[in-house]
Amino acid sequence: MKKIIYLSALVSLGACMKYTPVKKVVVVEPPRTQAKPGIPVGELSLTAGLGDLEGVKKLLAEGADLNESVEVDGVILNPLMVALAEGKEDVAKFLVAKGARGDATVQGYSLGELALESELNSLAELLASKK
Amino acid sequence: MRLNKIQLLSFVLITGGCTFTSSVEKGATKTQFRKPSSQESLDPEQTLQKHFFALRLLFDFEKSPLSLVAALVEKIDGVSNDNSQILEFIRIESALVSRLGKAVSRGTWKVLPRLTSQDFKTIAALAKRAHDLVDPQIGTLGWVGHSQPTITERWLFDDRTKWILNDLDSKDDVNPPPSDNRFRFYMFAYSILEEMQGLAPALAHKFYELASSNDEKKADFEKTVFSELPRPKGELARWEGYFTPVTREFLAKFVKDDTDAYWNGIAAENAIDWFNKNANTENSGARQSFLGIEPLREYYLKATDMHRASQVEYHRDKGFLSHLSSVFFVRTQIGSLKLELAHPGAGKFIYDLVRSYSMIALINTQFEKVYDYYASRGWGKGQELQTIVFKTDTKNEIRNLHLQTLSGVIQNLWASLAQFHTQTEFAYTDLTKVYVDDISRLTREMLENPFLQKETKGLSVEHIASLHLSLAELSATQTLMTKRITMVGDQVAVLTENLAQFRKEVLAELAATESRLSQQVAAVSQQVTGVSGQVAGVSDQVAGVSGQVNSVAEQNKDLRQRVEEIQTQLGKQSQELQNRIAENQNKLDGLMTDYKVESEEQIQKIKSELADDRDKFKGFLNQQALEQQIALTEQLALVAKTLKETRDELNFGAQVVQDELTAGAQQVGDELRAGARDLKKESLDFVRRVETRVLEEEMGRQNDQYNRQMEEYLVTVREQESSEYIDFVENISACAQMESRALTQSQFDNCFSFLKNRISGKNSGIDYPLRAVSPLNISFETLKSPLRNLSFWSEMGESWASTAGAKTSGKWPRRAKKFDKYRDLPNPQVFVEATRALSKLLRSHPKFATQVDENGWNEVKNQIARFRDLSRELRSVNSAPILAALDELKTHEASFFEELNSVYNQNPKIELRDALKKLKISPRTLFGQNVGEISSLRAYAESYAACLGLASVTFPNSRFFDPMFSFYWSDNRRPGTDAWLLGPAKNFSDPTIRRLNGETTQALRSYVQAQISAQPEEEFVFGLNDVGQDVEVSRLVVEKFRTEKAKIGEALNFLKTSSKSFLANARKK
Repeated sequence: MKKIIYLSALVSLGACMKYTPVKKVVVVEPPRTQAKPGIPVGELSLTAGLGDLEGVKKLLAEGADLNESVEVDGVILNPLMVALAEGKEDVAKFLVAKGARGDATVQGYSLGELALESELNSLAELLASKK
Repeated sequence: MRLNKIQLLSFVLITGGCTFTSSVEKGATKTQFRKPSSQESLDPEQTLQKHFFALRLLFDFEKSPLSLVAALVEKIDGVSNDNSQILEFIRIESALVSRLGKAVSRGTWKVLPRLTSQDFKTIAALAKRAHDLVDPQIGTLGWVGHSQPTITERWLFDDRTKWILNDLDSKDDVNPPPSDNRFRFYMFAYSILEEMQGLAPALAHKFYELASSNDEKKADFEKTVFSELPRPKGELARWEGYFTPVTREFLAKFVKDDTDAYWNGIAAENAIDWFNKNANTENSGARQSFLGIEPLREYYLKATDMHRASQVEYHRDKGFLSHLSSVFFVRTQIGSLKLELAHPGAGKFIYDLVRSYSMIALINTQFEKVYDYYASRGWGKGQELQTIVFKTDTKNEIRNLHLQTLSGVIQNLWASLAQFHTQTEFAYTDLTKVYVDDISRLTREMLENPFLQKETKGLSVEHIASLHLSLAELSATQTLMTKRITMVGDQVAVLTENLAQFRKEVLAELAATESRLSQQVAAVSQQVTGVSGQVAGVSDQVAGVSGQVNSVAEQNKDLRQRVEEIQTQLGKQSQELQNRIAENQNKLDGLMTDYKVESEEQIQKIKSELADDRDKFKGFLNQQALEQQIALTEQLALVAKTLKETRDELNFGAQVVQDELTAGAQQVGDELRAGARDLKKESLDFVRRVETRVLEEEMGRQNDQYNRQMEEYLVTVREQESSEYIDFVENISACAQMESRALTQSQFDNCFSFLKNRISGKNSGIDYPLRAVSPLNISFETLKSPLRNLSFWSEMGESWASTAGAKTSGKWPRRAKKFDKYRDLPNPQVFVEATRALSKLLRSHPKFATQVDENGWNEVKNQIARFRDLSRELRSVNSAPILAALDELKTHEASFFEELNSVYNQNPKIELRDALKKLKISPRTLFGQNVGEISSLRAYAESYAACLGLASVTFPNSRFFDPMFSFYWSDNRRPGTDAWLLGPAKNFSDPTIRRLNGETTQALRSYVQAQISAQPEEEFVFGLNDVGQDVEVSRLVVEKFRTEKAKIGEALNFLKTSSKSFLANARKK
């Protein structure tokens, strides 16, 4: 269909040099992998990293993947890791309470150890109790 | 015939000079040199006045071209052979003035030092000769209105000058004078320069005072000049003492105390710039003067004209202006021209200056008006000026004054006219006419003045002036015609050049357009080739475009032909006009050749005809050029419009193709990227699943092993302790049963053996009593001595019995406080029971009851004291690992603060934050140091406790009496509680231990485990048997802990970095 429109435009251009502008064809980028329709992957991690607890709750209520995996520079992250890295303890504890997996490791260290290193002691204890 | 401007000027002035000379000759013949043509003759004094009148003219003409001066000198030279010395002086001095004038005009005063000493000696000799010859008369002639001495007078009276010349004799002529004479040299040269330009700065006045004063004043002068004047910097500072404030400001602005820069010269452009920037100040607003602002113009008048009728005091104010007038736009033609070009109006100013009120008044010899004029402007009281001017109120003085004034006015007028023509060739028409008219009017007024007619009777001034007037009008007309012809020719040339340039630009534009179109077509073709499915459409498009390009090229060709036709037509017209101009010029030449016989009407006719021709030609040219320009512009606009439309359409088509390509490529790229992402995610998920499974399996295996070991251990311990307790209780029971009767020796031995072994821990695995007792050196032989230990053990046993019994009542007996220090001893229950049993055993033995003596009791008390001391010491020793860690911490802190102090000592003003920054230490690191270390220490302690708990599984014997236990145990875990009695193994249920086991101490536990496993069991005495080794293990643990902490920090940073990167990307999306 696009070719037909385009060729007709060229024909009209060559014939009378009066070119009728053709609407530019816009190729929509294919959607990325989504856990749930309507919620792009990474949205929950981004919200958790920003410390938006209400946003996290809302996304989870809308069906966001609690353990979604996002990749950045070859590193796989999840919402809990992002919240932990950004020091958003409330969000992280909420995610753990909601059943987020805390068994991920970073360079061989558990999230609990990283939480202790970040002085997020209550999060560390929560992770330990969930172990 | 086209005359050079200089030639014209020379012609005018030389002709005037000839006339003048002829008049002089006429007068001379009447007296000495030739036969008088009339009966009236001049007296010798009058003749001499004429010579000096000529000399004055010549001096004033030194501002004219040197060739003209030379011509006049030549004319005068022929007047009298007797005055050859004067003429020689004039000639040579003119050359010198020319040389110095060149230096000034170039602004390179640096050349002055390059004048050799021979030059100055020549000057000195000439000045001496001129002085000898002229001085008697010049002293009375002098300058108008004042008795300022000449340079020769000052020079010759100056002993310093002679000294300088003598000093120069000893120096090399080639090289510049040495620095110690530089100042004198500059003074000398500067005074010559200033004086020869007719200017008298304060320096010259000082020289005059020096020359005319006695030795005392001379000394004062020198003192003032060389000592008392401010000397901020070098030679220039000494010079500043001679300058007026205005001059000092001028110099300060220009040279900025840079002596070399000052002597290297000041460019006229810099001076003009400075004047422009300082136009608002009264003394430096030269630019406003140029624009004709009255106050500053008056200032100039005051400086340039008034000083001739004033005394030396005015010279101070004049000094600065002398620089301006002489250096920048009077003396230097180059400077004047630049000034006029850069600042239109400067020539007007000169013109205004010449025709000023004061000058007119002087010409009319209306001295009263001059006085009033000056007085009204506050330049001095009229009476004073009158006194100044008429202070030598004799007939000769008045006559000389008038002669000087008249000659000066005539000379100034013509010189200004010539200079004006020279400098303002771009604005010569109307202004020249006004100028000529004005001069003519002034000259007529002067000639009609009865006073002047009377006083200048013998000089044929009227003849001179009329001739001057006619010549000037003629020459001005001629110049006007020549200039107009030249202007017409220039206009034709400019028009032709413009047309050629325009044609060239049109052709270049067409060529560029063709090139651009070709490039665009090529680009479009390439794009079309790349898109196979769209070749046909694009080819059609290209074909259409090519057709358009061809049509455009044809249009261009037509246009080019039209331009060539126009060019040819214009060339023909131009040629016709030039022919007409040539004809007119020939006519004019003919008229000029016979101008003496032709009437004024003919000249007017030619002028009017020429003017009409010029107007017609100008109108015709303008009309032609306008029409052609309009036509060409329309053509060009049409072509440009067509080209633009074509280009827009092509661009649009290319854009569509490119959008298609881009969209397709982007779609494919997105799909590939999405596939790659999915693949990578699946791979990573797979790897993670595999790793997780392996880890889970490994962890499960380890947990199973651990649980199995734990269960085995618990079974072993409980079995062991159970058997011990059973044995012990049985023995105690036996003892109790034997309380009322003496034990047999074998029973006693058995019981004691049990206790001994129980205490020593050899069999029971409990080593703490040994640790507690062995330092007392209470040997078992001593224990075997009932007489000496009965009382001790009895008391001890009772105490512990009470203590042990308190667990049921919940109160500590008062008596037991005495032994509170022992209550922390681990598992005292065993000790209590053992001692109690021993006491009863001993008491039950009748043999011992009677053997307690005083010495034995004292020995027991001593032992108790030693026990207390050693127990205290032991307790302190027990905390050695912590102390070691604290010592290490203190050492670390000490080194840190030592480093910090060193930074502070290097720079006491440094901020604490900067110091930390220099040490690459964050404030949090500093202030959180103790907190962190203590936290680490606590973590270490907890870890260590956990490790010991784990170690106790492997080595049950070492589980007791560890300092970490006392650290670890909280207050509610006092001895005797369930937790205590259950022993360390029970501690695994403790939540803290569990947390430590689970999270923080995972690595530490593994490490300690490895450490323990690495040592042979028999050599590894974990506990307090070897405090040193325990400390070493502690240190290793601490070190490992810190290493692990650092690694955890790295991992955390890695996670944070990844998170930041993710958040940044996510925000962008």
